[in-house]
Amino acid sequence: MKVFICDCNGEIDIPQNLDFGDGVVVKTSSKLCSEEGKELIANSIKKNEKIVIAGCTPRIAEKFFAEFNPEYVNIREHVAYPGHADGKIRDLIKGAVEKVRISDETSTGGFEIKNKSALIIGGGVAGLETARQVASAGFKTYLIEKEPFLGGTIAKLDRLYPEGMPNSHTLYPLINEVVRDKNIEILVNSELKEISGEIGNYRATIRTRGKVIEDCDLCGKCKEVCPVTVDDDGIERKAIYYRATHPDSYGIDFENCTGCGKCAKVCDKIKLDETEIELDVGSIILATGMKEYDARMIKEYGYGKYKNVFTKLEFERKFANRLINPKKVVIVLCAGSRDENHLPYCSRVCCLLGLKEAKLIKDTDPEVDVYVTYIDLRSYGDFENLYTTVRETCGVNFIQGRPSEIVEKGDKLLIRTEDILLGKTIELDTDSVVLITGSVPDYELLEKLGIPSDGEFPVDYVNSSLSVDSNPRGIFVCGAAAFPKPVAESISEARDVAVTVINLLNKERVDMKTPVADINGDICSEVGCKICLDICPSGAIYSDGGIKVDPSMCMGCGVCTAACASGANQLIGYDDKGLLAQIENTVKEGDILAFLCKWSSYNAADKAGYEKLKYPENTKIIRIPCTGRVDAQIILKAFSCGVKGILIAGCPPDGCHYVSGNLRAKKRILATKELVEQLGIAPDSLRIEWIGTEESKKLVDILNEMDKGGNQ
Amino acid sequence: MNLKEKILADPEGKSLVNCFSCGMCTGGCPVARISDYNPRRIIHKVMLNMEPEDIWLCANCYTCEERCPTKTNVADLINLIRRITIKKDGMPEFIKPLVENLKTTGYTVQIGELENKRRERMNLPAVETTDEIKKIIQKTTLK
Repeated sequence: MKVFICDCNGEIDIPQNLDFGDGVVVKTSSKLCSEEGKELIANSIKKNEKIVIAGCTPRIAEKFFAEFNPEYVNIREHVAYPGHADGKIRDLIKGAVEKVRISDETSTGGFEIKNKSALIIGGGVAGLETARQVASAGFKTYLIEKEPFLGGTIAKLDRLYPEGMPNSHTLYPLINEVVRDKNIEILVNSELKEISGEIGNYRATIRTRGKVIEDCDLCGKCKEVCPVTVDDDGIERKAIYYRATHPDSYGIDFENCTGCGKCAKVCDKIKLDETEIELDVGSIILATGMKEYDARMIKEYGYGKYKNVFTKLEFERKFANRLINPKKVVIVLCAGSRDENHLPYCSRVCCLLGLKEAKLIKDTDPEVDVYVTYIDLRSYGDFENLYTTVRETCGVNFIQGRPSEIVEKGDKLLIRTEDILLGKTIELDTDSVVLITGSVPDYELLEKLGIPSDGEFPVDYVNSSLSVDSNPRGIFVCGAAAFPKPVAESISEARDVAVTVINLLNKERVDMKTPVADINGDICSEVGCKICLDICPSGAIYSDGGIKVDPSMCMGCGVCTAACASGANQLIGYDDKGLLAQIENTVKEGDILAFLCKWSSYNAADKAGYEKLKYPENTKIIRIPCTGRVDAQIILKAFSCGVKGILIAGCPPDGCHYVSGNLRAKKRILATKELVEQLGIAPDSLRIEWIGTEESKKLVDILNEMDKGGNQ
Repeated sequence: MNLKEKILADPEGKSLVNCFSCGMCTGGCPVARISDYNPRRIIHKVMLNMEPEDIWLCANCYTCEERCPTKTNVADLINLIRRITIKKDGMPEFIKPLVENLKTTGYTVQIGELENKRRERMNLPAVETTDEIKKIIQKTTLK
């Protein structure tokens, strides 16, 4: 093992005659971050030596040495800057050396990016744009679409949401580019059956129904003989039909086709058989778009019971095709949204969609009376202009209040709602009601792709899949499949994902970053408690006969390791025996031991160093990925080594890098307080606090308080 | 403690803070349809530490609670406000005859011949008075 100590251009006084026992070589430098310094370390790595780097804060050191994956010791911000004596340097390095000595191998392996290709699921705007970008970077791209035509939801709309341009403005040029690109293979009427493999080497089984009709002259004979009539979001059509996007032929809606074969009898180009193909791809992108919440679930609004209560898509299509001619329309926003009985979340675009429908009606026929009911009108950012136009230019009426019920009265509908601004209930009679419902995720596909959704959109997964500090999994979500969003935002998110995919496919190999959790199957199967399965905040732990961790999903918080009752689950880089050895060798009788989260409180301690704030010299700081990593074993070990106080500090509630690791830590520490009290240790000597990066003063105050408390 | 604090301290009052004033309760309230009664305003006023009005008009049909998107127990909260008010100021005069009805017939509302005739037309059994409530009152300390 080698310990590289840097004095940062003489800023740190390094004690003489440092000796860390057998097999540990100490090298000092005054500028380790120079090219020469890095070469020294690289040579050690080549010799498979374990390394410890002591010098500035890891926040800075990681800029230079992250590739070497060393153990860092902060002797500048945490010793030299606050003016602590150099004996502390020896203790901190000793702790790190013993941690590294006893810890298991920290290398976590990696994956080869074998298949230089991508599979995109969903042929709407998000999928089309991702395909266009990935393919134009030279990678083979497969675009599969469940329906017989490209275009997705917006191909059905009269106008794009929310701005209200005709859909052709965006869709036609996009489809043209995608069809023209030789790198893109389009498969319509195709669905993902299953996937296997891992990043860089996925195998996807695709089921395709029928074949695209070649040289179709759109004669329409097939349509005439088709016995199946389908209500396609408000428009009646046959199960074989034509939509002016792509391909330019009749297509079969296999969701509704009965397979009677009448169409194939009048046209021998029509093929109904099913085929299955396997695609080897390096990356998969889910872009399946919007799926409306089922309005039938909102019983009070009578959708499905009253013929003039419509969903937004139905209304827009019927109105654009002059199938209905209402003289008065009430548009109900938040239909089933922000509602604990239906969708608890806000689908973000629905207010704008409602405004778009209102404008569409007024643009077509200014004589129609239009009312919009809302709880809070969320026309964020630039969309305030849309709200202003609809209110001022179009003359639409707005009623604040969530309708309580809709009943039919003769050929009219009656809406009972409170007008909150009047403070009175009112009854609105109308010809048509448009329910602006929210969107729901495609649970089936999310599950197939192993993306945790927890009954809502996979927002956490989407964020982590694009973040710099998590391991790549090669599976991405974009567009409205990730969260409902306007068309323009779907397109820009498609580009974000495409850039990430292109960078990934350009690599030969990706190495998994540490820390990640690892489970020893032999020990785990003895106990089989499965506690870790439910508490993983990123859904990385799965049951596959045994309990396993998917390293590409693991964010490395260590919450599972802390919860593991058997010691089978270890966070590589922060395993139990390593941390226990570090504690034992770092602290002395009467010290204060602080476990500080690397995302917040550790930086506050660095800041205290820059500000030269005074805090007790006997404070020893150990950097941890998350407060959720600290468990009772660690705390008891520290107390048994004679520390007089333990501080565990991390991010504030709702600000945890790992969603809820800090809250879990709080629960765990409060329970441990009871335990230490039974052992005769003052429970106040164990503290858990929220200390943000900027809150150096708070950190120092707490440490000083703990130091005084311990002396009493 | 003021009214809001008393409600929040009560196990049945926790959902007060859920309300985001969407008006769905009032929109479906049968009493609000024929009067100025407004359950949303009652909740809102309590939140703002103002004196709520019309707390005695709720018919306890629970439509508000059924439909509330934030799971605010509107009807239960109004009942709680009534209990707190009685504890503080005693029973209002106009409630006393209703309580008297309850004692003698088992119902707050008087069920007369007219009511039973209407029930008969709707194929519902006639309502008969009961002295069960009276017995309960006598056996407890309630007077």
